[in-house]
Amino acid sequence: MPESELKYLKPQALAFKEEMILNMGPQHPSTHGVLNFLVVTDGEVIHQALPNVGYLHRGIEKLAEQTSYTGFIPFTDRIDYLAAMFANHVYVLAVESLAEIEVPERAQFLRVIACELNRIASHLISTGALALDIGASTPFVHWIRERECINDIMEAICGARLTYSYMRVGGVSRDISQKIVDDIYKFLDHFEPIIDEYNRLISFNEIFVRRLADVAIISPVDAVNFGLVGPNLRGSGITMDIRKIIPYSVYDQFDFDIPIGKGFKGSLGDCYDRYFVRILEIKESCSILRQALSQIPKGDIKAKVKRKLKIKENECYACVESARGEMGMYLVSDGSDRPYRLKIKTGSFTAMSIVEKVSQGLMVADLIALIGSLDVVAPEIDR
Amino acid sequence: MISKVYTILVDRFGEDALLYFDDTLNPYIQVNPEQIQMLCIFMRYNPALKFSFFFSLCGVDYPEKNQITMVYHLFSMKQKKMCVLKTSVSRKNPELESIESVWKAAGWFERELYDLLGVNFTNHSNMKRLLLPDDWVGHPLRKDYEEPSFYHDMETSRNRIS
Repeated sequence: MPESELKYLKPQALAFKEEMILNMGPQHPSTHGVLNFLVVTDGEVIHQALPNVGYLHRGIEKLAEQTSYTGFIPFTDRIDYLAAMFANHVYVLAVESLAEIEVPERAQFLRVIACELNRIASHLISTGALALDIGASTPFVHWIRERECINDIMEAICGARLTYSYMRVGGVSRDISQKIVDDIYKFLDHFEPIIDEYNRLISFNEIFVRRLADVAIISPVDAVNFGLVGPNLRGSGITMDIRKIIPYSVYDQFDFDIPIGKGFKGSLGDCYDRYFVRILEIKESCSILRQALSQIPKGDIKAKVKRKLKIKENECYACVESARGEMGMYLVSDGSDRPYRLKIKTGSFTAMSIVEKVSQGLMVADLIALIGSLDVVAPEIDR
Repeated sequence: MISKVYTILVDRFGEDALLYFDDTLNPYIQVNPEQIQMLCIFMRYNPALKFSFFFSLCGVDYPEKNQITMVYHLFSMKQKKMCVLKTSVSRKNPELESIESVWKAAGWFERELYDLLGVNFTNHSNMKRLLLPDDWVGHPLRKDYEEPSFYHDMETSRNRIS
């Protein structure tokens, strides 16, 4: 942390005798990427925690202005490496609405299937890593094992295990065979009972509950004010899900619930609520997957799109419900074959800005729980 | 739908301050830069509007028009609709009132814009670079930005094999 940062500390900070400044990160195992916090502590109590981001800034928005519309899809994988499918999805949605491309229904179902699989995989990492951060390493290994099954399915679907680039403008890159459909069914049959097993192992474990319940409470008012999205916002008890409120793709054809925090083990909006909402969401995703697999229609998987895409002057804002909440892209075209401006709005960016407020008065160990429960992914903040 | 929002806004602010455009996919309302904060407060708290969610803030550089356009995406849960506000500032000395006091979420978006586009937001609690180092020169998302070839005596470009 540079010296210049010190002058932004609050005046009362450093007024206490016992205060000291602690650098957490950038290479800290619990920060989920390269993140740095400047923590002013008095013993174990945090007076102020200033997030310092930007270590992973790669200028993706600037790169978009130099790349063709279709050539930018692989870059979107790198925005959020744990949930690459959503960034793919929101980008192609933005380009399709600008270029007025109609996507075949089969392709839309394939997109939903891929996205929901990815959501499960991302939540597995998020909930597992939270347990790992606060000292329980077994659950993480269990979840990694299940995630490996999803990775195998993803590899069969699109050829990649992490950076998928599965979506194309106008459809998807390849069709799924009956064998893959059977594999996904088999995975769901195997996986759904494991959620209950996992809950017995860790979610209702007394030590785990006490570490998370009533810690770092975010009130619904603050959650809206700071622009939290996704499971973090729903953890504070607000029913907001882009899949229901601004339905995109074919999500309006499925029947699913939006789990919200209710103060399951403590107060509304604490770390445990944010954690448990994710577990409930995994169950909903399984239900969406079953519905999508049973309704999947026959047909094309890709619309006819010109090889060199040129889009006349226009602009649009597309958003999807990513694993980390609403992910939006604001795309401006100017008639050429590349975007004039692309703005990427991500969930981790706003989640990070609330840390400074919520962390005041927490214990140092609870800051770890807070960051874990917010599920921030560093490349998504910095882009 | 947004036209209904527009009529409510015109009732309060008068027709000179606001222009309504629907030639793009998302219709937008063009606002005077001086009025942006008042307008945001009105949109957030007016019981008929209730735009309580702040989706995003983006800046677009237009060198040929010599202006930077700010685009605000707001969302109202009550109406389940998104509203787009636009306002333009001059490119030479871009300055705009911060809306951090209306939505806290805007604070980091404004810092990012200050960092990448060089727009100065007044009355912001911590107006400094967010993503790039404090001593970085220039604002990368400007269209005429040229990457410095050295940063602290380190070469920034790769040696190309041609």
